[in-house]
Amino acid sequence: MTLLSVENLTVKFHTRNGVTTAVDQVSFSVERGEILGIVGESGSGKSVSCYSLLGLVPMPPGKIESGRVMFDGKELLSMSEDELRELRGDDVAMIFQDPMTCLNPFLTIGEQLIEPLIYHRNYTRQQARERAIELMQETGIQQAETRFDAYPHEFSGGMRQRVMIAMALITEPKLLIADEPTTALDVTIQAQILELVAELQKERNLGVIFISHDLAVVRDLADNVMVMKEGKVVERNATAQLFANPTHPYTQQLLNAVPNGAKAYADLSQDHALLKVEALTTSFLDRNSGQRIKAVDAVSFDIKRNEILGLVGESGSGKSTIGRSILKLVNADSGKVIFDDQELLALNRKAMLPYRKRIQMIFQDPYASLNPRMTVFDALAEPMLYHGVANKQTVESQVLDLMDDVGLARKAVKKYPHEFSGGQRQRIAIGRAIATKPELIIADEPVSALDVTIQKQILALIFQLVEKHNLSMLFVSHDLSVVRSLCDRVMVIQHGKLLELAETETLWQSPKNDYTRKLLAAASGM
Amino acid sequence: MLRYIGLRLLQAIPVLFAVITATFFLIRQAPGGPFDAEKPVIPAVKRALEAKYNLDLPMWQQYLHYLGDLFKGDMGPSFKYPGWAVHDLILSGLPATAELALYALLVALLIGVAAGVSAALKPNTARDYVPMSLAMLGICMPTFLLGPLLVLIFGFWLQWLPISGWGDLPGDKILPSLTLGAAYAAYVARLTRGGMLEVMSQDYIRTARAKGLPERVVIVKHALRGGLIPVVAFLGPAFAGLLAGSFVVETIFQIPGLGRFYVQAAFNRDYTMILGTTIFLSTLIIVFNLISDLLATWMNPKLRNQLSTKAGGNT
Amino acid sequence: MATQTANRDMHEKGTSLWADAWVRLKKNKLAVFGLSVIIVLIIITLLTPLIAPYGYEQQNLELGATPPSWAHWFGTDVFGRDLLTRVMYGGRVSLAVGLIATTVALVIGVAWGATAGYVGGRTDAIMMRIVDALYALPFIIFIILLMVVFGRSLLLLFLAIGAVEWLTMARIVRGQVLSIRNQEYIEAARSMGLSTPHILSRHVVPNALGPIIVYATLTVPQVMLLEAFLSFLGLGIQPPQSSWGVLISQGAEVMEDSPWLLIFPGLALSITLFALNFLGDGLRDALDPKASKD
Repeated sequence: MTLLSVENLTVKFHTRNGVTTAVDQVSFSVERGEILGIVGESGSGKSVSCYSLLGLVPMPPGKIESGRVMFDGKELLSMSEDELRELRGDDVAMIFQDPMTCLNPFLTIGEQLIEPLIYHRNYTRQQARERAIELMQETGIQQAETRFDAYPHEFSGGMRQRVMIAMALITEPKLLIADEPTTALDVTIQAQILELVAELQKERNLGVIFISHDLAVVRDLADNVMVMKEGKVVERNATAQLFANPTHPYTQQLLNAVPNGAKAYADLSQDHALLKVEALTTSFLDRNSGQRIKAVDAVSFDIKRNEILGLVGESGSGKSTIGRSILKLVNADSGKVIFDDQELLALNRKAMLPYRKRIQMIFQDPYASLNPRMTVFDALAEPMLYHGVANKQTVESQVLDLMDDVGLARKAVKKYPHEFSGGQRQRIAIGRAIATKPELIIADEPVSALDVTIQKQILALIFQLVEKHNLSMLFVSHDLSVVRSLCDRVMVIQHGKLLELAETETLWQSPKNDYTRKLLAAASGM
Repeated sequence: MLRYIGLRLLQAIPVLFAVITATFFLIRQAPGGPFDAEKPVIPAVKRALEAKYNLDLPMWQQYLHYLGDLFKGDMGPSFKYPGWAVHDLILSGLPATAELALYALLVALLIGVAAGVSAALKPNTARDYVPMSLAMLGICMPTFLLGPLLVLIFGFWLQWLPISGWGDLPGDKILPSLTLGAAYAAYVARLTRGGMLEVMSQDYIRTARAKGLPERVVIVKHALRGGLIPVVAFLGPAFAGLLAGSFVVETIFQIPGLGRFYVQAAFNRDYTMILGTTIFLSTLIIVFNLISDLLATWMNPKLRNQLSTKAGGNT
Repeated sequence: MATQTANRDMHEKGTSLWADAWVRLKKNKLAVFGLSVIIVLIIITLLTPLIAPYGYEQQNLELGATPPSWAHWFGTDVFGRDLLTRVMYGGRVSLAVGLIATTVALVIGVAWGATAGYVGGRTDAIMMRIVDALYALPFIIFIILLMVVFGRSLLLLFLAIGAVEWLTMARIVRGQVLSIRNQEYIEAARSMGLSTPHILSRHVVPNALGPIIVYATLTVPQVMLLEAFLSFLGLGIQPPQSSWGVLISQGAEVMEDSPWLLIFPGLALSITLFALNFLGDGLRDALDPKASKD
């Protein structure tokens, strides 16, 4: 018998600004022991189509307009709120994206773990505690006995996600809905969590709906994949078929979201580097221990002219600090940063100014990196006027040229950042970075806050601009696939130390370092 | 934890010391002394009186004398009520004020939290608008206006409740407690609503619902804890406000409490009484601030742990 | 030049966050009500000497206290003085105290908070410690003390109240500046090499302004309350000057016989506080950056 079948589900949101259709005539089904991947970008309706089944979409404004949903022989849409509640956390369990915010910070892990057993199965606290500790061990939480009474903030992100999984499985549900459960985690942790989910699923013969924005993640996990866009299902197929033979253009677009290296590779044999970093060390004071912690530890590298150098590491590895140290946004303890034969770290503010014109930065979050109270025109004109690249007479035409350059409509130049989408905002930020006609750009995760198809467009833009303006770039990223397609050379960093620096393909084919191998395995395993 | 409390109390000492010093010297800058009463006093008698209370000594000596006495727990005699020691006066006024403040606080918390939670659960409906409009009314209807109005309505026109006294007639505690508590009920309601709305939009509330917990459990166990932290943190300042409000309420309802004594002492330039009351009330307020701070910190496990590691020192 | 202007006209006009907030504020009926009441009030206050129906000290002892009538809309007090006139003059004092003391709080609080927040580090720690210590002081008692000691001068009242209210302002401003300082657009500005004054004036201040405006709006009613509170206890404004607090206090004494003497000044104060609070709340909702994101 089919575990869950959804037919022609339509969900609309009735808000003051009108009616939006979040889920449009969606049908799918999940068998016991099957993993269904639902893939789509933000706003595609992938989460709503699952949440609405269980009464987790606030109504109003949400409303299920039509559909038939059978779960385990019962019709869900006609159920009362109480009947649905009985189902949730018992036969159907969920895990969510951000384990940092999904656990209640005011209650112990144990208290939260045993709740489903107490409210659904009438366990005593003692019985529930024993069962919870068993499951904590099973999901790989060390010292479960003592950790039972700990609070969420005492766990790392990966461990919290294990707690979430234990909590979901504690009632032995038949169906597990996993909503982007690995998106907020580092790649190596991601791999562990995915492995855990796959293992537990097999043992228990669970039906799983795995929601993700990332096709690569579901590739090895899911039996079937469904691709959604703007509330509609655009394609459904067995995983292998879908990847081998995507029929819908949008699926193809998603699959090819990472651009292939179209850039003419830089001449790496040139012996005169544009930027030379020698034994750069930057430390921060840790308020808890009172000690200085080295975020960047004696890192040396160079960037040739017209080269894109990739800088890869997980969160907290110090990769962003390197870029910020070069621009003196944070003070380095020691080392040298030599740009075009000039040491920068010793320069005072005034002497540094001409170099600030020649080195620019692109930030990760296009929502935070633009001043919300400045028009695009002002944001782009400010660096031009400040550095004398333009004067009052020429600034208007120069700004408009820049708009063309980054693919924004000229007529939008008087608008404010909040009137643009995330991808457009990142175009503005890129425009600001190239406004002073710099030679070196430090790009700090410039696409990781964006949807995949947008990522592709922005990467293409960066590519094109690097070519057109003969730029060099330090490209900071946690995403290996992006780095591979873009960079001439790649350096890998962990705990502030440089582990490996090699030409991109060399690194991929024969990584020398264990950690690099682990990163590569995690990335390709997904 | 104990060490943390000790540390905080230790930090309170310089504040208290500053209060004592500032009050002592300030009050002596006042034009007119305690014996410049309506009837002129014979200069010789005035000198004798001033000698008796050490008022003829240089200022710094008076100050040291006072500090010494204070250290021994003696706040000196009242200038205005001969034969009364200041601490006796304070102790005689304290019960009424304490009782009044307690009832007012209960009124504020019971009404405020209930209204705030109810509003937050159904935001932007009548269940939200009605209590919140009343709360706004409470904030805009200050104690010194609400008090007389309540007296006018329930005392003079309807004649339901007594209009003055404390514990003399049945029901005479109702109007003062309501008057004093109303404004704070309003503040508490607004804070509760804000806190609850913030918490109810958190991801972990969605988790709790996804676990199929009854809505009652979601609200009481998962939401209320976080939602009430702003309210608890507000209790300290609220207490200071309640004491200030008691000045007004005790004046309106003629309650023989500390607040009324203080206002009278201020008018009479009863130096020792003002000093004593100021020190006493300041201590109370500082202690209450500390309690409310600690409670709010303790309610947040993340901060609670920091407390104990800091207090634990180099473990 | 002509072509350039033509060019500019072709651009779509953007809506700044301020314009956005204004649109939202206009949709909020209560806030609009509040704003209108305050504007009307300010006009009346400014014109009081011209439009007041009677003289401020004009007595009519034979008339005595009379209930509201056509001749005296708000009635008269025991000296036969017109209450409407007295409420109008009292409003001048109440509003003036509210605005001036708020300005005092604003100036000290913004300077203190912005310095602490932008300089950061040890300076910040010390400056905020001082604010914390002052917070622990029982200020209300101190103000009473000050009024007793130095007599009840208006100037002192402004200073004393302003001195209390600046603490919260300093905290709010510091929090704002601190969070803005850590925004990526400030880092972007620094990486461009912009000077500190330039960053402060172009990037920090415009973004910190919203919450400051909101808090200032909400401080005015608090200050007016404090003044009325002191006046009620007989420690604030002194006769012959008058404020709403003084009028309420006088009205409360005779309310059994002449309740209008309590009710009208009370209404005037309450409505003003209402209006200011509604406007403040409305501004907060309108300027909330969370709301403007989507």
